Amino acid sequence: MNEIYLDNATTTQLDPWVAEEMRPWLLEKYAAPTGHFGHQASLEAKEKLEQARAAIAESINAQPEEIIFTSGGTEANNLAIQGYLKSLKKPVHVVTTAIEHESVLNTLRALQKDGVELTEVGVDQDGFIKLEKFNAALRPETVLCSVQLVNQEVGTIQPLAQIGRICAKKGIPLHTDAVHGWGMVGLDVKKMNLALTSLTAHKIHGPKGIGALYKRKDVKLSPIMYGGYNEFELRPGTENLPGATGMAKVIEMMKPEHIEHIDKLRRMMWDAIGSQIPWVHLNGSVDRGAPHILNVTFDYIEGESILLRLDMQGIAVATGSACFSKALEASYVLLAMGRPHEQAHGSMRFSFSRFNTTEEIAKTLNALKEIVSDLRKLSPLTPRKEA
Amino acid sequence: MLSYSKKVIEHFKHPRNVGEIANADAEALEGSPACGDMLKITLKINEKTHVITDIKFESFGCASNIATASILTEMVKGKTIEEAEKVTWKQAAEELEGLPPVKMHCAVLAVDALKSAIEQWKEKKGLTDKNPTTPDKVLRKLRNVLNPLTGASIVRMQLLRDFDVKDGVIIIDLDLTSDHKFASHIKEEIHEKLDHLWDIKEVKINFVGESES
Repeated sequence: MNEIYLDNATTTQLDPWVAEEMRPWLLEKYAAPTGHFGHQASLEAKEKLEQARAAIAESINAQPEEIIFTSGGTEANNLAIQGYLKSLKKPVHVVTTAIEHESVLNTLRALQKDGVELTEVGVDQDGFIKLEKFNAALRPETVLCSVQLVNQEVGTIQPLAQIGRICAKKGIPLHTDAVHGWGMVGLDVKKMNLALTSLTAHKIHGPKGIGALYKRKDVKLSPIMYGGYNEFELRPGTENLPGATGMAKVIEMMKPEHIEHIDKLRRMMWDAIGSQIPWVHLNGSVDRGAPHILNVTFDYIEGESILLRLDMQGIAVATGSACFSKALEASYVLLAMGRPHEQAHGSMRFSFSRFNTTEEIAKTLNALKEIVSDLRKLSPLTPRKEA
Repeated sequence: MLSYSKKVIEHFKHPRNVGEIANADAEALEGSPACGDMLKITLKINEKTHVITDIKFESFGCASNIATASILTEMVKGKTIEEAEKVTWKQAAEELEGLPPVKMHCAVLAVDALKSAIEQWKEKKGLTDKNPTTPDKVLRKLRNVLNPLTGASIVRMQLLRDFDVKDGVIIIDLDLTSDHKFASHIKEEIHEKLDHLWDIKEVKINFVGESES
């Protein structure tokens, strides 16, 4: 296990207090919360599930009956998009952005084969949606827009309130993948005019395998899986009560001082990298970015090498390099931001949590300085004069 | 991390023969930073004995890129260029106690860079002629383009449906769909192997595979 974990945008450690909260529902109170009528254990479970639902609803200014538990963000995105489009019986057009998570983009791209028309709106060089392009992409037959809250790689916060206003004016439902923003940045489904919102627990110290979809009351969905009649007949399967309990606890645990701490770590890291390491670029924005994600390109070297060298020193990070991707392709987010391939290959994502410390950041910086300088000595591209 | 052998990690951490030889007798730069791997090899060759007396490398690349280049320099230093030319990418990978299939192309890149440098030296010394690009030569080059899924050549994997060389244009038909996971990677690799041939103006790659759905 790594000593210093700076890959929190991939997943986070489970908060021990959250684990404690989940414990009885795993070990002693294991009954399924299925029915309104049933044995005592089942009724108690049902009550607990509804409490969790209410807590999660409250965190985004929604009603409890607007929350559908899922297995996570990917399923929530699939249910939102597939379930909504399935309920319509006409040719449809959907607008999204080029930098969405794969669970949005690949879902929509797969639906193109069934006749769904798709427009992927580009982003500017800092990773923000181009609003005029978004506006221009909307057509009379546009039935859905899907725009993320926070980008998974560069941390940019999209102007959802503005996008929500545009969609509301045209009567187009707006879905947001809020997996990387929930608990970290402001999320209010009413203020943002959201019709559908995907959430997950494990990015903010909750358990894996639990997420939720917010569905505004007037929005119609069809199930995409079939089985029993759980979760308002929209998501079959025995409810994951320990998970739901953990998810509700996690949002309760998230405090403004945690976010301040995380933001401080991110700024500290970028200030030091920017001032102490030559030939670096910030991908994203410090002031308009989420507190926990920092993405930096180190010119002339490749990300997997940096990642492995950091790993050897016990430090876990992520990279947008092709060498690290399952398809051997450089980060599509950075390419969409207009970065050349070589800058995408040299990009590193540092993502922070409230369990990280300033000492860890200082240690990472020292390691990074040495590694970047070592690898640049190996590279045929490094300008030799100042190296 | 677990998918790399100890030897890969050892060469990655402590690469041998790093740098650039001043007044090198031959040098080659293969790959490109856009593709995510790039390698520069410089050589000192004894003109009488043809022995490689010194070899150095520089790399913009991942761990396996650095490790394969490092091990290759060790394998050929002190050998004649004729012996060095016979080293295959498979031997380089074996010497490293194996590479993951998706990284085999790094071994190919290293061996290609070495061969290019040697070829250039031989041309300079008038030991070989500039040969025109024949279908045979193209096939040999394509044998070095690997399917990252298996680490085996696209030729062996029967992904090469057809190809032709005519008037400086190479046309290649691949039995893959353009939205295949590795389509763009394989395309880049083919361009890397063929674009620089002196008598080739253009390399056209067509994806002619049939979609499954």
